[in-house]
Amino acid sequence: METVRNFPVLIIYIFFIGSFIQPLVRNVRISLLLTVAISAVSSAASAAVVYYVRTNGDFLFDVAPWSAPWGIELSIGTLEAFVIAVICSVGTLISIYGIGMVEKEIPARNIKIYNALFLALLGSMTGIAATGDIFNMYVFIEITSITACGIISVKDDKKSIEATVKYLVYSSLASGCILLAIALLYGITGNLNIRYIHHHLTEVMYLYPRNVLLASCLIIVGFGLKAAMFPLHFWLPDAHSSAPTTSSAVLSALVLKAYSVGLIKILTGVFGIVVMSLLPLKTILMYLGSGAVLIGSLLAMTQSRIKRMLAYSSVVQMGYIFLALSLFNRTGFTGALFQILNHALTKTLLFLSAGNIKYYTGKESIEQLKGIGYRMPVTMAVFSVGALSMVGLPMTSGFNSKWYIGYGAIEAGKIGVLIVIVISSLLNAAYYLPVVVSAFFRRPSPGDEIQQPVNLPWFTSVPMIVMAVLIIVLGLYPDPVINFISGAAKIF
Amino acid sequence: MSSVVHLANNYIYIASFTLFLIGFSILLLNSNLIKKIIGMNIMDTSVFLLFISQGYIKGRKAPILEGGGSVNPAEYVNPVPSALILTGIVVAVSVTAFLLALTVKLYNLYGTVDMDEIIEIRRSVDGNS
Repeated sequence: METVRNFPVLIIYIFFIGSFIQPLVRNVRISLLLTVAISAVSSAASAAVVYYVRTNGDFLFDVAPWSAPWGIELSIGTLEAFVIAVICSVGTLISIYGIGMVEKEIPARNIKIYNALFLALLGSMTGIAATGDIFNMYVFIEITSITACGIISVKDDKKSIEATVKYLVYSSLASGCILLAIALLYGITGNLNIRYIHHHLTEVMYLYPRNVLLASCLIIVGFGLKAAMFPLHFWLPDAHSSAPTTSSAVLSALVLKAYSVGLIKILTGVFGIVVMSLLPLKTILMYLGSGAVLIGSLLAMTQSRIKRMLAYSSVVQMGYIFLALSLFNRTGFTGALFQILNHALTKTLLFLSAGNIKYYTGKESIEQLKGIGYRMPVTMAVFSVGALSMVGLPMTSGFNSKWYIGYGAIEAGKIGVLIVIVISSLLNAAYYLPVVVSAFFRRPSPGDEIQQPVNLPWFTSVPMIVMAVLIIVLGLYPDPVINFISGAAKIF
Repeated sequence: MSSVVHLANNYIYIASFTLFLIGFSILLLNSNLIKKIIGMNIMDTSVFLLFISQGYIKGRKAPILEGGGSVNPAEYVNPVPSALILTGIVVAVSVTAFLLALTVKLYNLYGTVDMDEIIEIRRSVDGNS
């Protein structure tokens, strides 16, 4: 059983070794299957980590023979185990879908590069979640930004290259801010290990109040820019909508989550609850989160193309996470973590459905989707499940995350936040439900006759159906997951 | 007077923050991609300077051991920041390389490295189609 302690670092190794052997594989099909196999192995390992943390509690792991504070240390708690499991399992589902779709969207010469970058991206996101060392986290953040930009540019057309440049420029701005914050924290504490920084920070923060304040601002700006916190989300719609289908799914569902988990780890681990309550972070997160869920929804409503609408919807859903963090209590934190899982599943499902629609019918704009439910019944059925979950109807996982965030708002005595959540749910309904209604209940426009239903290959339909079933199961029986993640909320 | 002394004592912070802001604003505001990349390197270098200077202790040697014998740690400066910045430089180089490669690609597609011009060209193409 003690071997499980090695699994988090092994998961990172497996992903990176898999990434490095991709260029050696000759056959494109084998390269795609290898990606699936590696992600599946990592998912199994991450499940074992979740089980271990559940029975034995949190643990620390020294990567090298030097122990902390000199060596790099992984600190695996409930939050980390949960996020690693989400990244690995959703990554596996996306890679299974990729068997069918990657060859159709990405030029043949780039497929192996795509697979290598995809695996490196999953590995580095696992690293952000697992590491207990702040400089190590910076290195993983940089690998994540480079590979995330890479899986957009593999499409190799004008639009995606331009979006990549934009994304990479803002990413490096954010990295600069994060590195400066790390330099400031190192300067006053002399440590890079998160536990040790926290320990020293509580002693020296009164001597250097300006350094701590500046570092916290830079952390918020840096991670906010990377995790598309409103109003720093302007790069997101281009990047996420011009990427290939599978890349959009990974970027929206997992990469944003990895950065927000990095932010959570630094805010709760480095600054800690006491320091955070002295800084004005709570209020900043609350206003930015409210802005994201309200204005992001309004922006999503004005979009005519479905992928752009989904990209703006990601800004809204990230806003819920920040809003839940700003509540500063157990229920709100549980809601934030459940929202990470909910959004990872739901947004992946929606992006994959949009990719299916575009590939099989060539339609991109919402206007053209009238009556498409007859032609693509499976795709539109799972799309509807995802849309209902984004709106937050009962019996879907989206309802539970909003329930916990709203309940946390009442516990914190912030009725304003509750009202914002309710209004934004209505706004979400205003742009998701028309798609579902026009797909199933409108006649196709003239000249666009009803055609035979499209037959999806199994590796395209199975992952989507699995995700739709998971969304409903998590909507009906969230208790096992909630019980597990509420362990991470004990810090409050 | 005391505030001037305070500022003078923290000249490293002032220098690196000035450089950081110069790099930051070039990266954010300049539309020429090559200048953006130069700005990014200035920004990263300013942070490296700050990091390295924090590990420096006046009057001590670089942490390079010559020959065997006993080692007195009090003779050397803190080697950790230098080791970290080695990693930081590698990261900055790879991001620079990636951005330069994308710039070449964009130049081949549009015939310019100016972001504003590229967006204008794209708009006019989208408007016609």
